[in-house]
Amino acid sequence: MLFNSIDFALFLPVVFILYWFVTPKYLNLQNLLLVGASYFFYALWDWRFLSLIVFSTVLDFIVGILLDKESNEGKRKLYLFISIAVNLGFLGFFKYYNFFLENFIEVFSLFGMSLRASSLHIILPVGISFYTFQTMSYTIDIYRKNLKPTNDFIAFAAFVSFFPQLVAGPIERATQLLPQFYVRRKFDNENAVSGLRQILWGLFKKVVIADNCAFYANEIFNNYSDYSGSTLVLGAVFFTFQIYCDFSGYSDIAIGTSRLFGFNLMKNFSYPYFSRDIGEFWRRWHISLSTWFRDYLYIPIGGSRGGVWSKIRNIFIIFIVSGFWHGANWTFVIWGALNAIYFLPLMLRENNRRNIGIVASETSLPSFKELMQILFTFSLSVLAWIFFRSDSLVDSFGYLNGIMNINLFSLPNVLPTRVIAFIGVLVVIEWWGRREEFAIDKLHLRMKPYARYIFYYSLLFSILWLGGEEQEFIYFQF
Amino acid sequence: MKQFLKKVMLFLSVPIVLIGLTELVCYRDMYKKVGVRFNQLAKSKVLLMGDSQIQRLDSSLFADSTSMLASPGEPYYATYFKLKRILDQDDVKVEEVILGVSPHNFAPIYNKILDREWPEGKKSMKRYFFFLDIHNSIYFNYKDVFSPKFIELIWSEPEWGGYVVSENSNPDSVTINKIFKMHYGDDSLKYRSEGMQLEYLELLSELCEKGGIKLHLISTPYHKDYVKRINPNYFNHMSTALESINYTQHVDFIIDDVVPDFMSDANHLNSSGSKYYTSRLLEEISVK
Repeated sequence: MLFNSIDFALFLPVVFILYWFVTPKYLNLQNLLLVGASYFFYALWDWRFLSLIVFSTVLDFIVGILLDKESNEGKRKLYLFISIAVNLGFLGFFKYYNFFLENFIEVFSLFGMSLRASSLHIILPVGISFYTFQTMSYTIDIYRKNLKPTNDFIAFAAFVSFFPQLVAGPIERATQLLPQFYVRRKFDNENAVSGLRQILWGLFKKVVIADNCAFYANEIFNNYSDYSGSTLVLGAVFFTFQIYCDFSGYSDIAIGTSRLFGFNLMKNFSYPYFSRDIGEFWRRWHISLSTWFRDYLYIPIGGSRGGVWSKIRNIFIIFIVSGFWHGANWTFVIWGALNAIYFLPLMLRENNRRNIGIVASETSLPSFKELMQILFTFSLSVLAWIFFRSDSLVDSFGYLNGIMNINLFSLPNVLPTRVIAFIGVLVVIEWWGRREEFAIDKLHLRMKPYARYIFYYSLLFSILWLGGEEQEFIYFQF
Repeated sequence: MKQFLKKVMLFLSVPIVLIGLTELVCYRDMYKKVGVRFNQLAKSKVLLMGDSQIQRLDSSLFADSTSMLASPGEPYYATYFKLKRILDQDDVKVEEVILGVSPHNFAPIYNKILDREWPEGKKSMKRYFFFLDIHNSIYFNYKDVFSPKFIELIWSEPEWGGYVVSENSNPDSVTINKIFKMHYGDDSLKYRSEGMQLEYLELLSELCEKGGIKLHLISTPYHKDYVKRINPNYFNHMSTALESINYTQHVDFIIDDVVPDFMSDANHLNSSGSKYYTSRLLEEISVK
């Protein structure tokens, strides 16, 4: 079920009413309702893959209890290993089996040996990269004794499958989200209204900006040899906004929906395209994944401790693994490696944490220097997204080659002013609201009621009328 | 909580009422227009129906009382509902229907043409909505009424089709290959039968029979390089299909040794081919 579908528009009010009017007095029943609703939500894609979620849930629930009871370190390690191996095993099989197989065959053929193996037609279960990481955080945190295991299976099942963030995050930590299932939720009017506002903004970003950009980005990327250098640059910029609005729009809808049910999810995006360096960009982009890798991979392998070479190694590991998490394709690996290269100079000069707060926090406009830094960082990310979007490395380099052409300085063949205007509106609103949780969070405080309603209805009607061709959320495939 | 729900409902009621009213007005207006057109079509003596192949017949050679209703990639499902709506009018004058039937009409492309998960399938809704019997449609879903795109759907004219002239000749192998792949898919050697086309072809035949209308089936020419590549099962499928229906006559030009000069691509005639084969068709069925 897509957030931007009629199905969801019907599903959400039904679950909301049952949740607050039928089951509010019984915590277990309320959690059970969330599990049922979440499984239904997921089953509408493919009910067969529900078994994977149920299996992961049961396994990690049991492993959690065993880890807590066991004092023998060897056995504890074994339990943790089982949990991680099974979760990563699922992920590895469904997502990476064909990739590894094809690459093995290729490597062997380089040595003149021919391997006979046929790739399987494997369907990638939606959201598998998200919920496996979420459940792994539970067992790892118990192993590290940062968290007590739960004895409440329903609450745990609700934590693993919570429908707003089940298929594309934010990847929640058990320490943050699970305790919220233990206590009775109270309806908070202000939080719910703000949640609706966040859903509205998320839908606008997804339907109006991302889907409209997608039309041109797809056309240009799929036929890059037919377009001039300037058009290819425009195509890459469209994809840069598409992926941001698609994914951050999804996160906004997920977080807003959770707030309607009395839950608080972590912030996943914090105006990444206003970043002044790549370090800041990565603190603002897909925060739940970046911090997951930081806590469960980067720090355990040494982080920024040790000599220069181990620092460099660790940076490359985390960025390449992060790239590979996105998909079984060398394009994602190169995208990760490129970001590591961007990041290295900052880290080696220990400059990676110089821009912590939001840009121009005390002023309405950035300084010239800040503007240049923002544009430079943005350009670096546009370049990296070319690898991310391309179907293969040949296409990535073909695309870059197409940009480096004399016609780079000509007018683009495609110049959709409507989409460019939408992007302009987005940038202005996001800049205006950059100090808030999401761009239009506090907008109502600065507006008179009539202006506020005009604004909200403009967003609503833009979603209804100006949306692009319906596209699936990009991150569903990861 | 109740206050919250009240406010949300109030907020949403504005667009719901506005959209609902607009939909109603647009639907009524377009429904009327479409009704008038169907009424005019019912006064034609001959109807030319089918997909883009039939659109390439030469309009100047037909009598004035002939109407061309073929449209690109039209499935028999849509053709059936178009004809049914025409025959449901008062004072129907239709005597003959010339319908395109060729092996590619049973190709996998027609499995997808009404698949709403596919880009072309999504467009089909817009093209055929006003022809369909929405109460019994396999394609229309009442949930669509709630979709904001529904207004766009009922705002736009349905696809009536019409004559098309192509000037290209002697198509190259790239052009032929492109069309071949579009019709039969990438794994084009594998035969996949199409069920719905046959079902609605039978219904079309029954409809003509019931209305006392002569049904002429025509297989317009293919480029010889295109014919060679088609899996023979598709020809067999078409023969079986024709055995299961009643029709007055089947005029088959695919078996002709077609001059590439007459073809604009793999399966469409160009203007000179159109003149030649339309004349031959008229000789065969004598409806000039």
